[in-house]
Amino acid sequence: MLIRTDRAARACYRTDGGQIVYGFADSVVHVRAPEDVAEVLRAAQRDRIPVTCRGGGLTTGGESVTAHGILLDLKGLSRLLECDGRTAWVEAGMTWHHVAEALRPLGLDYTSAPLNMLSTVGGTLGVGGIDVNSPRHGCSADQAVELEVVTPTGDIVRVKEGDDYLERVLLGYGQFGVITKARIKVRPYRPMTVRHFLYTDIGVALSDMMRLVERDAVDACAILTLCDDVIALILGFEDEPQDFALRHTPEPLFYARLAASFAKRPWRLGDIGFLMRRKADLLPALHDPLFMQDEAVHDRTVVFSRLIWRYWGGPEIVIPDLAITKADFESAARRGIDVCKKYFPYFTLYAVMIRKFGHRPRYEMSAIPATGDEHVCGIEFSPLVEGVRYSRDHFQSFKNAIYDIGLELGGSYYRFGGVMKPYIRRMFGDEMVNRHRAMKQALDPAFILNRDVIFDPPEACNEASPGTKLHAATPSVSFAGGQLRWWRPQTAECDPSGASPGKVASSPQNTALGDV
Amino acid sequence: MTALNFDDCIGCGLCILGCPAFEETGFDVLTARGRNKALQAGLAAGDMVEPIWACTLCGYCDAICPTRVHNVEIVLHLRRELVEVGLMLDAAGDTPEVRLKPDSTRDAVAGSALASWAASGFSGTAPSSVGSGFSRTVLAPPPPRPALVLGCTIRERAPHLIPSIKEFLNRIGRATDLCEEGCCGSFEVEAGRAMPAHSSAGVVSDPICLEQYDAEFLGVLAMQHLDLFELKPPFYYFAPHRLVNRDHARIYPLYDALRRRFGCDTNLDLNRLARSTSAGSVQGMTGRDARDIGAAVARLLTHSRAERIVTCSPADYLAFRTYSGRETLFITECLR
Repeated sequence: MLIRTDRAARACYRTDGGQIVYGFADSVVHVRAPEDVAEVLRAAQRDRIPVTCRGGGLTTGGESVTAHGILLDLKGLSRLLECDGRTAWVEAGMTWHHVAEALRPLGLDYTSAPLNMLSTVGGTLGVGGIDVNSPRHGCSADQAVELEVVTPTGDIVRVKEGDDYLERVLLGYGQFGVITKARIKVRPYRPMTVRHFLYTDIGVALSDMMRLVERDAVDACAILTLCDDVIALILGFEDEPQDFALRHTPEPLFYARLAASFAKRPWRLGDIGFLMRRKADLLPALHDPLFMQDEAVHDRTVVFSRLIWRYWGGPEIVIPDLAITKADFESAARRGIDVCKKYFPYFTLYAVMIRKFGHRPRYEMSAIPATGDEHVCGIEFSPLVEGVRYSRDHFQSFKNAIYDIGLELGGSYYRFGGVMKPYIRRMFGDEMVNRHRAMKQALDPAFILNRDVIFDPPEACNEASPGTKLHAATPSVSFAGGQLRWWRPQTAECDPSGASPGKVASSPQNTALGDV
Repeated sequence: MTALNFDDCIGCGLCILGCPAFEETGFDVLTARGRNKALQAGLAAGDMVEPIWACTLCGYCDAICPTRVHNVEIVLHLRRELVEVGLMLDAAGDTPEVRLKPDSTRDAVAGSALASWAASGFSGTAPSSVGSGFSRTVLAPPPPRPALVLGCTIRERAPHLIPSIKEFLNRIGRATDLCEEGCCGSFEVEAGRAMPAHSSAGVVSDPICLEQYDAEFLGVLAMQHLDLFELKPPFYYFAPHRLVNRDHARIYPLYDALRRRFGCDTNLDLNRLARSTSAGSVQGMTGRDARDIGAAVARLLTHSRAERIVTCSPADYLAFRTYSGRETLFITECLR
């Protein structure tokens, strides 16, 4: 393990994918083994030092950013440890890309992982992980059959399916322990043939996707739109592509209708350039000869993962989402599109379905909404900023408006931590949140682990008024073995955000600002 | 001059996937994302001595960046700034203790005199054994006619390869007149002490010489004449990473064709980009900030059972020969 306190090392973690929250940790700890994590947590528990975990750093609400205490970088836990052909033990700091790369020489692939392969295994298992394979295989957290976890008090434990603690840690948003290893399901690697079908109505597209998923007719599927002009149902086949009776519009007719629509609304003619540009970005990437062989995409996860960054492509990741039941899928999509139109000229919607395996305790207070259905639904809405700069207020107001739809329809969210924390009590209710918070308090007496992400800490900034300078820590910690140097004492802005339930303030005051 | 567009970095982290500095240390700060984020936070070159010198200039980050940040150019620019104020490689006063240990066997790859010079932060005059050109800014005068430029590594460390290189070039009808100049100065370019000054040549045997020469690369010519070589699977082919990553559209298909034809293992990853050993860069030399080439070789070979390694990159040839424990051949040693 190594502690870094130099400004450059801290500066490179000062924000996350969302780029809304900024903060300089007092120190960055790079771990190499579970024992390192345990040592840090024991010392932090003893001295009440906040510890914030970081993997790929792709959170969107500042969940992996801190202006207080230790930032624990887990990417040093990066090995494939063993594989029996059906499951693989992987260290939690591996990105899914590295998992794929390590499994590929064995002719294997992971079962379900986020489309963005730069997420790490540990972070993903903590929040869910949704992929085009999720309709069949469920979220990534449902692929883990055994875990090694470091408790907030520094014990290293092994848990497997059926254990209560595993159910707490999976989809637990990093509140109940630090995952250091996971045994995940793997399957034979197979290239994928991708087909897309165009629709003019989101409701029809969603309905077709739900029918295919109910019949388990395809290996992968999702819906991606360009505004609500182009709605594409994307299907993936690992065997021969099949034909289905879909209600899509054949491409020549689709484009003729689109042209007619623009002719009737000439003030939108400029949007044709946008659509052409985005099409030119999207389709060639899916047919890149580097990855195509016999009309099938090889390593489609790499293709999709790289494409995401070209497709979204703005400096900030702004993707508020709704996790809802099938009954509300269409309503949520339509209302979300209306919100998008209000805030941005160009946007996209990405909709997937996620298989649910009964009523596992892990689903409570998670991105998997409570329902008796075998599948739940997820929709992400994202502005396509096209080089235009928007204020953080604007983005935050947009996110609030999307999340308000979720409140009205019921369900959940994928990204409800960090600055979106005030929605948690409104969505799940005080009883459930208090119960989970009590579990957290029991496991983490000093409330040090990812403390501002989900729950209000016990003494949320009550030592000083908001904005006053606090000493983040005293430099008095000594570690066994003398391997560590402690950080230099730093001052940091007190973050008063999210201490009480309510709508997220859209002013910068709700962010943990830090600077060098 | 290419724009120093570090503000365009969105922090996606694609660049860390194949970054040799990250693979070895796990430190974000040593990657393109880390440097760009630090620059965005307002840090200056003087605050980032270690991250700036950690880069091996392998070009992986440039090739994969979705927003086309010019990461290599940014590093070279920052190195020049550091050199101006005397913050040379390995000379940082306030960087944290770094985990790399001195490795005496590294000198077998880099050449002991050159390695010592690198360890001193490229201060003072270059050792005579590495050529007389190091102290000049423009170092490589154009050869009078198309010529073969061997490069320092082959001349100094692997002269036994010269006959097979000449034999291969003779067979494909290329000139084999040797350019007898000293070092072209590519390492000085990397060290921020010189600007690239391109000269014309016929063929260069070492990809690093392409920093200073407009020429054809021997390894590319070999890929275009594969029938001349006796390549029996299973083997591991180490493709020249900088060339693959920086000129991807032209070079990658050649090595991909090799992989498909022979089913060999390679250093090409799932992103269709090339991984590096760090040999053949200033970071491949000794010193506190140097990369651990032995560990890099082990990482590259983790999943390969091939007993034989073939490459067209002289520094990597020496690296694999020194550290892999497997038979290692330069491509021209495989001539039929």
